[in-house]
Amino acid sequence: MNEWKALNGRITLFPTVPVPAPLPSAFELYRRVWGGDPDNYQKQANALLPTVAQGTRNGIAVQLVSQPARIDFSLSPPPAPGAITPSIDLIENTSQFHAELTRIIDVLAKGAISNPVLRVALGVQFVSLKTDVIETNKTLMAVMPVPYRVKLTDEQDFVFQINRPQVSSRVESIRMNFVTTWRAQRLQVVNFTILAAGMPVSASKDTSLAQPHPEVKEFIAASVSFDNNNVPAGPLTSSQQSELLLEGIARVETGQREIGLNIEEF
Amino acid sequence: MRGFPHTVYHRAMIILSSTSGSPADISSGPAEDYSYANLTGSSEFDFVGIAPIRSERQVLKTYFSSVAVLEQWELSQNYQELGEALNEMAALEGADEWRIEPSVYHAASYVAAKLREDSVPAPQIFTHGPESVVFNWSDDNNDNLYLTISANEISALISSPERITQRIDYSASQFLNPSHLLPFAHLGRPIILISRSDTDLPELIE
Repeated sequence: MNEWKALNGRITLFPTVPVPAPLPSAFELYRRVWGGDPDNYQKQANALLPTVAQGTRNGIAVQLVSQPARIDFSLSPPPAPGAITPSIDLIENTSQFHAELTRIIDVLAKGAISNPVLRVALGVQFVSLKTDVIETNKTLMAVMPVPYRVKLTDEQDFVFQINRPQVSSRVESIRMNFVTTWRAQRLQVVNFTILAAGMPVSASKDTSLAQPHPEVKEFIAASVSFDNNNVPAGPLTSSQQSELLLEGIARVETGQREIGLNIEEF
Repeated sequence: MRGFPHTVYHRAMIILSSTSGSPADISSGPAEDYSYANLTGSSEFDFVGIAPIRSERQVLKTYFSSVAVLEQWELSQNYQELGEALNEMAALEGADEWRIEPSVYHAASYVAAKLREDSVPAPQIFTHGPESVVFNWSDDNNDNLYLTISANEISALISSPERITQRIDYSASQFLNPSHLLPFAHLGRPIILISRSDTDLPELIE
C-alpha cells in the first residue's frame, strides 16, 4: 500500500482588470461546479472579504473562496465522522480527488467565469505521515532526484524548492512555472468545543465542557507539493485557462511518478 | 530543541443540546445529556438551527520557526476598515456626497485587494463624486499620493506641499499586471512587494 496520499489540492484564478462587474459569488460558483447548494455559505460582509461556500462532494471536502482579486477552489479530506481525537485526515480516494480537480477545470472551460482572468494555478500536496523527523528526512531523500539529494539525519524544517519554467505546450506564447517543493512539514491539529447557540453554559454538568479548552496533537509528515501556474501575460480565454490547468495537472501526474511517489490513481 | 508546527488545523466541535445522529461521548459524566459532532456540514448546523460557521478547519500558513511579520495584523485591520468604508459608500443612496456607483465600488475593491495582497499600507479614502474614489497616502513631509479610481481608469498623482511632482494615468489594459502599478503606491518610491514575482503566487488572505 502506497504511503503517499493527497492532503489537499487547489485551483486558483486571478482575475484581471477592475471590471465594473463583480466576480461570481462562491455560492454561484459552487452550484455551477457541483450542481447543488453548498452545506455552508458565508456572504460578503465587507468589500475586501471573500464569499465562502463549503460542502462535501463525493467524499471530498470542497471549499470555494471568491474575493475581488482571486478565486480559490480547494479540495481536502473530509474529517472522519465522529472523530474525537485530533488526527490528520488524508484523501484516501485519490482517483476521486483527481476527478474533482478535472471537474473544476471542465466547468471553467465552459465559461463558468466570464470575468477576464490573468493567471491560473493548480496546486497539489502529497504527504506521507511519519513518526519522527529522522524518518521524515529519510522518506524525503528517497523521493528527491539524485542530483538534489543532501545528507540529512535529525535536522528540522527541511525545505527544498525548484522551478522548471517552460513555455506551455498547450497555449502558445504562455510561459509556465512548474514548482516542486519537498518539505518536512510539522502539522498541528486543534480540536475545540463550541457550545451550541442558546445553550446556557450552566447546562453542562461537566465544568471542563462549560469552559472548553482545545485538545492539541502534533504530527510530522514528508511532503511534496506541486504548484503549476502561468506567468501573467494577458487575459486568458476560458479555453486557455482550462488548457493551462490541464497541463498543470498532467505535469503533476508525471512529476509524482518521476520522483517515485507512484500514486497509481493520480 | 523542540520545533514548532508549520501548519495548524483547527477542527471545531459542537456540543448539541440533545442527541444527534452521531453521538460520541467525550466524558464519563453527562453523556446522557450531550452528544458531539464535528462541524463538517450543514446537517449539524440545521439540526440545531444556528447560523453556519464558515470553517471548522483552518490551515494557517505560518512558519513558526521564522520570525512573524507583526505588521500583518495591523495591515489586516486597516484594510478591513477600508472594506467597510467601501461597503458603506456603495450602500448610500440619492445625492449623498459619499455615494459611489457599483462599478466604482467593484473597481476600488479590486485595487484595494491587490494593494493588500502586496502588503502596501492601507490608504485613506475619499470621493470625487459617485464616479470615482480616491485612495490617499501621505508622509511626514506632507507629500501625498492620490490614486483616483474610476470604473475604467486609474490615475496617480504625487504632490509635495508646493506642487504636483508627478502624474500618471493608467488605462484598464495596464492592469494586466497590477504589480507594475503598485510600486507607485507609496509616494513614488519603490516598495518591496511581498510574494510578488513571476514564480510565487500571492498568499490567500481570508
